[in-house]
Amino acid sequence: MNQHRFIRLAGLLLIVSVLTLPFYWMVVTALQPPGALVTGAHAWWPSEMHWANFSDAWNAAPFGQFFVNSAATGVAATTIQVLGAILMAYAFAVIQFPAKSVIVIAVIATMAVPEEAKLVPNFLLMRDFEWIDSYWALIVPPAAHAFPVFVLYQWFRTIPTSMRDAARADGAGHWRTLWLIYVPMSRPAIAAVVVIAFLGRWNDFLWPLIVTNTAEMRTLPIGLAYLRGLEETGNQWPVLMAGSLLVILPVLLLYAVAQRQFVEGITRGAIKG
Amino acid sequence: MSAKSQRREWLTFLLFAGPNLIMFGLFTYWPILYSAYLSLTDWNLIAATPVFVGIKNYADLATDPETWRVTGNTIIYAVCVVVSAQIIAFALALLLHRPIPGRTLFRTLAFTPYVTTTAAAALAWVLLLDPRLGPLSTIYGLLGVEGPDLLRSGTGSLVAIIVVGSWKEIGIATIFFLAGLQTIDRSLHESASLEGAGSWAQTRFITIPLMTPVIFFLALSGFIAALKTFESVYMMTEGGPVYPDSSTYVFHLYKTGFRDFRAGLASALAVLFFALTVLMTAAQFRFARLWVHYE
Amino acid sequence: MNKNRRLHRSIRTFALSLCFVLFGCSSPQQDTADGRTEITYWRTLTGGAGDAQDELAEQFNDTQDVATVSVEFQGGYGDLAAKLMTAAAGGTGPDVTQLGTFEIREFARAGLLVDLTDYINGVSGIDTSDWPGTMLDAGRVEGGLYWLPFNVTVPVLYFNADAFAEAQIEDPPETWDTLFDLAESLTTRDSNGNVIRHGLALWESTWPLLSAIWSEGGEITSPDYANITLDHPVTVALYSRLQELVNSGAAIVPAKASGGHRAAFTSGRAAMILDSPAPYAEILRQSSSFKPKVANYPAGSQGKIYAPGGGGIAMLARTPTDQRETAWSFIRYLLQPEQIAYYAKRSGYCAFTTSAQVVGEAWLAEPNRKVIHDALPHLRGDFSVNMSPAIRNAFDDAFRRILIRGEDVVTVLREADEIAERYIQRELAPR
Repeated sequence: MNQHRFIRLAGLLLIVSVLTLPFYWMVVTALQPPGALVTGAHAWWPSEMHWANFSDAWNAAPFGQFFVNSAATGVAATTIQVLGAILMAYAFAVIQFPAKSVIVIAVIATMAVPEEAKLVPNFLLMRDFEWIDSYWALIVPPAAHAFPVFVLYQWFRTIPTSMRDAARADGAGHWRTLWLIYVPMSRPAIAAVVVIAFLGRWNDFLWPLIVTNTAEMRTLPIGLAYLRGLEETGNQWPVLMAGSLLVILPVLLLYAVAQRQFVEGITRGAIKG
Repeated sequence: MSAKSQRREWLTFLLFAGPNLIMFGLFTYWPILYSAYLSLTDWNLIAATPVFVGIKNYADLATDPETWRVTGNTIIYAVCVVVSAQIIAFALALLLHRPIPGRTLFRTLAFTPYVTTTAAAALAWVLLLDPRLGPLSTIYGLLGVEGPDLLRSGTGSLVAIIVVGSWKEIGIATIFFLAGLQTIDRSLHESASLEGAGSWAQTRFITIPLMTPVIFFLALSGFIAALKTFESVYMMTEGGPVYPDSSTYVFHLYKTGFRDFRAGLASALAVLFFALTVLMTAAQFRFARLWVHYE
Repeated sequence: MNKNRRLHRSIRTFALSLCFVLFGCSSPQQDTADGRTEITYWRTLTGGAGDAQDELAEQFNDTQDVATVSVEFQGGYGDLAAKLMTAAAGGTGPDVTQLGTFEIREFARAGLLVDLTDYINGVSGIDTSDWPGTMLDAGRVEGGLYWLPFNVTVPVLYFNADAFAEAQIEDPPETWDTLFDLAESLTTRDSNGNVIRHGLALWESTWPLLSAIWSEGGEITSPDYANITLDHPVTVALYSRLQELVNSGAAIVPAKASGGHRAAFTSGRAAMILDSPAPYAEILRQSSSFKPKVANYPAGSQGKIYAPGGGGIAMLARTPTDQRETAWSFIRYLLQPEQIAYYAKRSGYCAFTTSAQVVGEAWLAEPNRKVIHDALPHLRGDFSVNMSPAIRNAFDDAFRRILIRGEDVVTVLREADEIAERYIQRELAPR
């Protein structure tokens, strides 16, 4: 039995170290002194701890402003996305409506629309709404997303109808049934959807670049573009990786906090089909 | 149900789903319709008006070898990513399922790929895959061979994109499998043990069949997401080294619209993509009846 | 029920804070209360080459009280182009923009850019008599002038002076043939025949090769693109020679991630590289184990004919007519000798006019800087190759097929020529 356990631990170590290798490599590179890569001195451990890369990265662009923008629009877009998904998933799972299955399929199918194909038409809408270079453009259009609807719809379908019937017998309508029964019973799924939605916003590059113009309105991934080198000079890898870590760390922390809920959350709906 | 309460029910449905339906209509269906219109025109986004050309763009796409090449690349990519990520994630979940020292830490670490900004991760992978500087150089050095430069070879660059895609997918798939495993009734395994079934047989005949719904869910959502891959190509290879070696469908769409100034053609690509993906998804649903076991 | 009430309250708080976030953030309106015209300038480039543009705009704003220029960074050249196109589709965008060479023709033909002919020749025009070569040709499309060079670079040969001394070679190569022969004699091997130092590290870019092709009398395309000759005999000969050097180990095309040809040079693994002045300071700093020197590219049978690199500036047609004079005054400001010199010093690009070199005299006194600027008179200001994505992409792919994958030169170039001809039809189709 002990031998078994050893093999399992070894297998785990192997897979997990391969999975974390890119992250480790980012950290090592971010600590290298400038030019370490170019001279070929790059190794498994930084030749010297060059913490200045982080301040250099931070100062290369208005990262403070970008953090505020990313956080504010990320929270707002996530909120709208998840609230909308909760309401819609409940309607899909519970409420009667003619030709409901067609509507459900039509919404789920939008997962197959690539963001890049929506850039221009949605930009035209933003112009008509006069939302260019404002938080509105960063918050509202990305909020229409089918994946959270799909996950919550699957989840809500696993909640026994007896719960709903009991609530109804107590005189609760759909609104109260949703908030008093479905939502409390779905905290894990909601936590999962929140994290996934927030990550999607936090990491998005193309849409924010297209709809914002000024540094006042821009988000972190655009900040990383300031760190990429010129075509003529190539990348300054240590500073670029330091900047990347600055962008990643807040979400890693968020995940560490949300982890427990999250792990339980996404799957139950999937399991019961 | 009386007519009155039925009307109330319908109204409630509209109140609940309505706000989101409006959003989907505006920000997803309107772009599809707009693309459908543009796909019948010749336009570069900047000329005053699009010129109507009928189905010419679709005919052009059908005869352009690049279309077929990127479609093939994308399907290869999606299948490889979904299959490899699920196998590794399933193995990882089996290992993590039973108590083992450092389980929480391993679980957190396994999820870091999904959290990492794709743009940043792609750049880190460029460094990792370098045969002279990265960890690969250490391995090659130990083996005493001159390692290949993946990003420089035709198939290698596609493999590199697949590795990155799979790496990102493993984290989230593991979490799904883990939770799935926790719902399996322990007594099933216990009685199988009593009957003398080994751990492989138990995995094969109890665990895997019970996990088919999870596998299906992951295959479906992972497949759609994989078909839409753009960022890693944009950051790592730009479809090269010799276009379209490692180009995916959506990168090709972007390049056609913004680098080759052919928005009409790019819109035709978008419309076809939507149609094909929905068809493939429907096919997966149909095929699923043969192998997915719901309780 | 206490729990439910708490839930309700948290939902309400959530909704309220959401409203706060949404309504607290309308877009900032440009303040024009001081009566100055607002000019928006979009730029690319990072580091000093980016910052210097912000600084020049600030200096411009301080020198006059008619206009305020606000500079907005839009990512790399490709990102900037995508933004300009999307903005154009929506009838918005900046007044003045930095622009790479790929988009000039397409944008000009679509009516996106303003013809600058009358401005440059007008009362407050720009004296271009001291501009090198035919630098204005790049911006000429169908009789109009739509683009002016701004961040200009020239070809530079960097060589390892110690390696040259060791091989008893005194001067940098004067002809392309000598350069390739030198690559062979500068290559050193250990006792097993493994290469220790390559004679030449090639940039994974076709830009340096253009100068070699033109200098030897070759052409990539006729100016009107009617005759594309990617398989020109000169090009075939050049690639054959380079392939030979790569096969023997005398030349190498290092991967970009490892720092490419520059890292190969600064680490002493290659004796020569064909590059631009942009990385000059970095290369000098990092080449610690030997003495790096710079020279101009060699001459060919036609003498020295160099390809310029870099980007330029354009004005957008959406700029209201009454603001165009003001927008022009900013473009004009950027292209004055003082500003060109300032930008060159901050960015590593060239002080490309003679008058700018006079202003930057102190800075240019450094011998290597002087050599770099000696290349300017030999520029052929013809970006034609870089003005066509179809041709450039086909040519770049051929480079990789021949020099990285070792495919047959004639076959690859002929195929590249066919591909370029197929896609140029699409590019040139009347819109």
